[in-house]
Amino acid sequence: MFQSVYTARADADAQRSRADWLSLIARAPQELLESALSPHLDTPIEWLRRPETGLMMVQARAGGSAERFNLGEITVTRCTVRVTPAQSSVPLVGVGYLLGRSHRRAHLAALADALLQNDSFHAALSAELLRPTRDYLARLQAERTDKAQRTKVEFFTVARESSGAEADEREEV
Amino acid sequence: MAAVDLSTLGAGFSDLAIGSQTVFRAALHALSHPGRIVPVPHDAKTPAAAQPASAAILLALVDPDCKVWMSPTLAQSDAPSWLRFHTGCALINDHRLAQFLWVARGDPLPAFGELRQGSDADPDQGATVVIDVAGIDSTAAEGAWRLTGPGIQAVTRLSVDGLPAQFVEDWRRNHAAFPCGIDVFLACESDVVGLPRTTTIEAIASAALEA
Amino acid sequence: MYVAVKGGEAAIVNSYDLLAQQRRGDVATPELSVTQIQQQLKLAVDRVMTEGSVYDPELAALAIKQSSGDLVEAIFLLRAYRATLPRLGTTRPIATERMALDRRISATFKDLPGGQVLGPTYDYTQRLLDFSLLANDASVAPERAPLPANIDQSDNTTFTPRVVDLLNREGLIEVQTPPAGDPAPTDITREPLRFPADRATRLQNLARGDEGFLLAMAYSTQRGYSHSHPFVGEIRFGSVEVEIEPEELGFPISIGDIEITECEMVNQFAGSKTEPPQFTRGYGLAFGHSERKAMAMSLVDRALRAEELGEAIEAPAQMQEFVLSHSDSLEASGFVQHLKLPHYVDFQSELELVRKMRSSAPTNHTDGLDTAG
Repeated sequence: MFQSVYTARADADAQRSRADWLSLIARAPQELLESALSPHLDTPIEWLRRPETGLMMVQARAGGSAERFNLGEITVTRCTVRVTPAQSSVPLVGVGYLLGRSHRRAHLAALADALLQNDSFHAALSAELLRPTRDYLARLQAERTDKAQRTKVEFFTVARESSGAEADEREEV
Repeated sequence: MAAVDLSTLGAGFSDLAIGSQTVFRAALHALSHPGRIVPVPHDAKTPAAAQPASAAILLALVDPDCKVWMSPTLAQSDAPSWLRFHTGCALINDHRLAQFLWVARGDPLPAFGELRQGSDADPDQGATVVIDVAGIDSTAAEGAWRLTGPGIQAVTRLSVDGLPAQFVEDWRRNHAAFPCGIDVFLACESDVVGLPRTTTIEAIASAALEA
Repeated sequence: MYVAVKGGEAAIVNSYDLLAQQRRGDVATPELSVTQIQQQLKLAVDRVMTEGSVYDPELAALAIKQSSGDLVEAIFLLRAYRATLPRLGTTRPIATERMALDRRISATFKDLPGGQVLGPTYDYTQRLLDFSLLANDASVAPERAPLPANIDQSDNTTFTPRVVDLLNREGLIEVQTPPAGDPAPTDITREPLRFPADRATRLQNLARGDEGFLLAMAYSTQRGYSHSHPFVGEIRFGSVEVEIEPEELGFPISIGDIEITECEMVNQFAGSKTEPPQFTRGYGLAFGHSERKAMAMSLVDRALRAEELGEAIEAPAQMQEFVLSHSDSLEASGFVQHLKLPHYVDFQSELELVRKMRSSAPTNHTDGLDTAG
């Protein structure tokens, strides 16, 4: 019933790289989205789906690995935009899917997704949006790891009877 | 799960809330005044295989909890992906389970008796069938129906181009099942007519309908 | 039964004003911003998100501000707002074994691969009031602890399997795999709760359940109301990726990260007709950093598995009907608080009845009242 834009295997790579940039765009700071997309904000767009905020049910698994259950919902904002840039005759369709309620961020994300599919924009956006976002996220992650690792302990079990045992962290019985 | 070709897919209402409320109002008006031709104003880019008015009605009424069946011509067009993209409805193959059915011009109608009829406790669970027709006319003298029933002061006259001859007989049986039964929207390019199950249809000149 | 009454519009409007004034407090004190609540009352925000069942820190913080810090009221506000939003779909099951970890401890396995990571926790704090926080700008940069030797600087978003699975070499702990066909769970926000409820339904109920109620239920299992001897297999707190698969794309995408707390409890189990003696598991999962909640949930989850495991159902925490029907703070608070609504007619009729009973009763029953005191 649905026509696939991607013919399964041939475009698996394109799919993977699109999934990769969508995941970066979803986490990009708004200032970065605004500045990277500022040259394109005048591009005429057609809304296939205007930004809308709704809920998605987060599923998890019992015990982490068994049956699925509903944990609770998250706010998600999405939109779909169709862009036909002057340089291109093929319409580009971009989607924005983000956590939270920002219509503006969803709009910018969809625009970025559309333009990234066109070779004439890809390199510039990649340099101005994707790479800085990747660096920003790596920095956050490194800080997080660093903070967590500073609280890492190796507990030593101390036999109660022995008097000379060393316990430099915490006694655990 | 297959992707949808979004490069050609038509847009929905430009303003989701106002667009769907306006069309909902038209649908409500049509069912409140059976047989009256009601314009359906909207700005959605509807699928080519369907009448724009019927597409707009479904776009406004259907949501992710709805099961929708489409007749073969529509099912093979871009109508299913269009409606599903915009509404999130479930598309099903078994017309007997559908809450909404959408029939393209010229496609055979599903047997009304096989569709969801609702029950005495929940008559609202009866199916709604949206039928695309070639034309609707309330002025034609010949080949007209006489409609009577709740929502009609005296008599409404209507002639419909593009329904099979046995429609009137099928409708009589549907009407007799009240409070159960199905409700129908007949749609042409920019108008709809509502036929709730309470409406009685009499063919004035059945010979003309066959033509 | 309560009855409708008329009147009181002016008094109600004035009551709104008083409430707003009470919320604001002394205007000489700067107003609390939603961002401040989000940043500085994180654990309250996390609890409201978990029990309000919507992950959105800003909305939860707003609800806390609006409710003057009454968290049950804030949960109510968030649930009410939730009802105005369309459901856009369902995420793929979150992969908690791929969490970016801020904290990870086990009370059963000392030598965790990767070590025990304490993260931010009150566990080792002395419960002494810190008067330095009375000073307004106590925002001194924290001293950095020396980095431990052999620090693992590798990206910790990589696979970090659950400890219980990792250390289950002897096979003495039950192994949990998805059931055939991996069926979609029932959603209690859309379908009424029915008994008996399967584990997926119970877990959803517990995840939204009131922390105080679950804590008391969990505590009861430890005090002997159900034969339970639990151990913390693992507790982890961190952030996990949210993935969805939009139909129009046809492939999964990651749309952001959420913070979650996961607790896996292991319990000794003597075995049944079909199962050998082994350790069984209880599971707790909550939004944000909600450790007490996740632990209580895992104990109650295990207690509620009594029937499945062929155990005698003797204690309240093992009774589905009792636990699941009373876990929701919204329902409980609504029903208790509805007693404030006018019951004038109802009470009048009971008053009449008591008067009648009194007048037909032997008079010596009232003698004691006259001499009492």
